[in-house]
Amino acid sequence: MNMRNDLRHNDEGAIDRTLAALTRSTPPEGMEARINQRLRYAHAVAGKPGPVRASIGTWWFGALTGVAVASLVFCIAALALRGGATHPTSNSQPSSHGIEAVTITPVAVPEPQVPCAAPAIERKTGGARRPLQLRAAAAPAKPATTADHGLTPQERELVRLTQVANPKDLSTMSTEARAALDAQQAAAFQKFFTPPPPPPHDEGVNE
Amino acid sequence: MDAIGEQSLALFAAETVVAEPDLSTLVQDYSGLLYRVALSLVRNTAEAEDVVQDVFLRVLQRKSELAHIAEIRPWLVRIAWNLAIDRTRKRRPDQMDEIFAAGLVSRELAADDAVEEADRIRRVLAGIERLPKPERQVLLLSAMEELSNAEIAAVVGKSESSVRSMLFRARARLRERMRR
Repeated sequence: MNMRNDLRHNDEGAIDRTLAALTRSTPPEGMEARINQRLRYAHAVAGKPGPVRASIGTWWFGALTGVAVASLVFCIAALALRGGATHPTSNSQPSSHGIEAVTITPVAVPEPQVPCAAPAIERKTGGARRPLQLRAAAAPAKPATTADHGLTPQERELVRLTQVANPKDLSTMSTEARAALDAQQAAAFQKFFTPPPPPPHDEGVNE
Repeated sequence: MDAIGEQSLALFAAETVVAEPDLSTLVQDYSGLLYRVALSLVRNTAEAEDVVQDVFLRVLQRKSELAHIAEIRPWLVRIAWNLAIDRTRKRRPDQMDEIFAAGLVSRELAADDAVEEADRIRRVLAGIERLPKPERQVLLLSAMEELSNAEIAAVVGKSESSVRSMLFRARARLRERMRR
């Protein structure tokens, strides 16, 4: 019985001593100073915007500026297009804004007389805005020689050569130039062949 | 153990506006108590200090509400308790019991007695760990001499008489388990 009481007293004492030990435990040295320092740092960080916050702010500023500039450009372009679209339709009527419209009369450009012009190619002609025309396009085409005027086939060939004016073909009309050209072509042709081997000496064969 | 709501303590006296306390004064007055509360749960000195630091960081975040808190001590203890509970979810406290128990032994004891006492404290800590959660909380908070039963009742959200009966049941249950 006494032993049981001692054990119970011992257990009860152990509980009290454990709880008392928890009460007695003291904080590590310098804990308050470390906490205060950490709090000061946290307070300073919370006061100023961090790098992420600053970058987000910069991003928003850039995005808003971009949107504003894009809107401005769009408005200017829309106004310009609207102004350009009203000009052709208001040739005969004065503008509703009180600005006198400039009358633009299309300039008549003489059609080139090209007998062999391809009908499939359609050129946009007429209208107030005429595209830039090349000088060669406006020039009259050389008439084709369709009539033979009683010439022989050789004479017609000569006429054709002079009209085409190919230097190589013209050179064939001169006999000397034709001979020189033939010689040149023969020399170029011979370049493809290797020279024949020298004939063997057969002096002692018969002996 | 379930975390206790801090909002109710912070707002139950919202109309009672007092002067906003200085944060460094709070650290000076309550860091020791909060350290012991945290240590009784996490049973590790470094982690207990981290808990105290986290408590004051949380107070800093809610500094504007400090003037509306009538009973600052139970409010701080509740925050410390909840943060310590979060840490015990990551690590079992009984893993530290052997070292922790050896640290709680009085240095005046002889070597043989110190070993025996450390073993006894370790068994008490293990018995506390197996108590029902409300009883364990009341028992550990009662070990803090600074806290009255009324303040413990405010921390756990129960009445004062309920706290007394829970404390009685916790001690009886712990004694019973120590005998086995």
